[in-house]
Amino acid sequence: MQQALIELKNVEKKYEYGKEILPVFKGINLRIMQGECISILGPNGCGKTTLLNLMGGFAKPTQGSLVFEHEEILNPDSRKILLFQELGLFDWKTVQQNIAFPLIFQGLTDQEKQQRIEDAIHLVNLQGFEKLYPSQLSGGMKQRTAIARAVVNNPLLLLLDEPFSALDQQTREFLQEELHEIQRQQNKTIVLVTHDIEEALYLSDRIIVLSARPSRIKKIFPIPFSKPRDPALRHTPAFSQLKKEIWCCLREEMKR
Amino acid sequence: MVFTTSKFFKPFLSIVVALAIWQLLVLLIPQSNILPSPLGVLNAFGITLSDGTLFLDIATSIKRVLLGFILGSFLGLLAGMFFALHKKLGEYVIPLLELIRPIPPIAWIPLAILWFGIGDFSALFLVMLGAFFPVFSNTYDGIRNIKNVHLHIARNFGAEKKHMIIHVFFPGALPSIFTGLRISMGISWMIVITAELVGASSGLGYMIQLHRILLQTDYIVVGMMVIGIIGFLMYKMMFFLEQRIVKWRIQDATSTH
Repeated sequence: MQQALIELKNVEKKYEYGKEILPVFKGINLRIMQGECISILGPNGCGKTTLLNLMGGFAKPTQGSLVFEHEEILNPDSRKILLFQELGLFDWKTVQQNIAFPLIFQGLTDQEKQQRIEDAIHLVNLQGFEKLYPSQLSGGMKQRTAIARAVVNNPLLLLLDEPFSALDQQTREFLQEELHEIQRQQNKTIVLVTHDIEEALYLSDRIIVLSARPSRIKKIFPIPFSKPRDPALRHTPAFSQLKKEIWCCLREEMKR
Repeated sequence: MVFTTSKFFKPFLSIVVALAIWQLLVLLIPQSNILPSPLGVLNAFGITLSDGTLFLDIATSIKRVLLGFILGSFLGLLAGMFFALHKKLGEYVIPLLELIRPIPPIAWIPLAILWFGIGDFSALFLVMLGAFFPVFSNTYDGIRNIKNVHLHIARNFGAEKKHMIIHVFFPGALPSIFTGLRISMGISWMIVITAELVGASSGLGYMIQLHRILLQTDYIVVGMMVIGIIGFLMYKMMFFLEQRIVKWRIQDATSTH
């Protein structure tokens, strides 16, 4: 049996606000394989982002454990990169300097660094924008910069929190295609939190639907489409059928 | 850079009109020594320029203000960073500083003269005091206001404290630090002139005070004008420096996005 890159064992999370205890989710069991792309869908407040924070090592579970590369996750580290919804580009660094940031802490030669930066810039089609500051970029370009920065160090695991939600439809589709290419080319393991069923379907190998709070895994949909996936896949009957099934599954939870 | 005619013409026009009104007032007021004429001021300017005393006073004041400003704001920067990064220690020290802060630096003049005597050291002390606080509090706020997401990201990529300071805390706080530096610069200039009025025997503040005693209003006006012009130039220099260093902010304003 294939080794899981990250494994969630009976994970539970509760928040305490003074005397009040808010259970977010419990009994989450999940094995994510190397090279897999997993999407997490669920109603608002079901703890999708919290789950991502746990995997990134930014928070600890109340119960259960998360294992990454045979070790319990205790802290963030550069093998698993969380791409925050707010992106968090450094305003004071140019596109190139932002992308170069993760390399500062690695023992690389200048030449190796330069090569990696160039590769990352090519990967997300940012050529010609290297010298600009984030404030001079459009939303899509900012997103590309954040993705390039996240992958420049070749992390094992990429955790994405609603990465394209702030973008217009067209830009979003382009970026989904670019992300798909990156995932395929580098055989990257990705966990993606999203509200967009189409995005999840186009990118994922499996889609996890969480129930309303206190959440559990309601259903796991394996996505049968072979990779690489054509952008036009979105307009095939099989895609629409699956989209409808997931929509119904999600809808039941949203009404609760 | 292209200067349009109107950019120069409008301020030029207002200066000419002000000079005309000034001259008119001089003609209307009979006592000539209360308000000097523009020509009288020009004459006094020529004399102080040619005998070298003006340059001496300018040099003295600038030396005091620069030294005090640099030392005071540097200490403010260090203290601001230190206490922003060591919040627990800050809880002891910051309330104390907040108590000292509302005392205007010029209220320290009597003590400064007693402690350091008349001259450079008093002025330096007062300028440092005035320059310290704006830089201190703006540095502190700038660092405390750095977004959590930036800290999370730096941590995620494996940044240690020293990297955090170099790549996140310091540059992230720079726009705010410059706000503090600009305020400090203005305050420093004000303080050095004030300190020289009462606690020095050289410098531009001393010069205008001396000519009050001698009833030479034309020299007083020369001194005032020079003080104004230098203050203006220092502000411009600070602005230029800020534009060069905080590039991302300036381009913010010109960006079309």
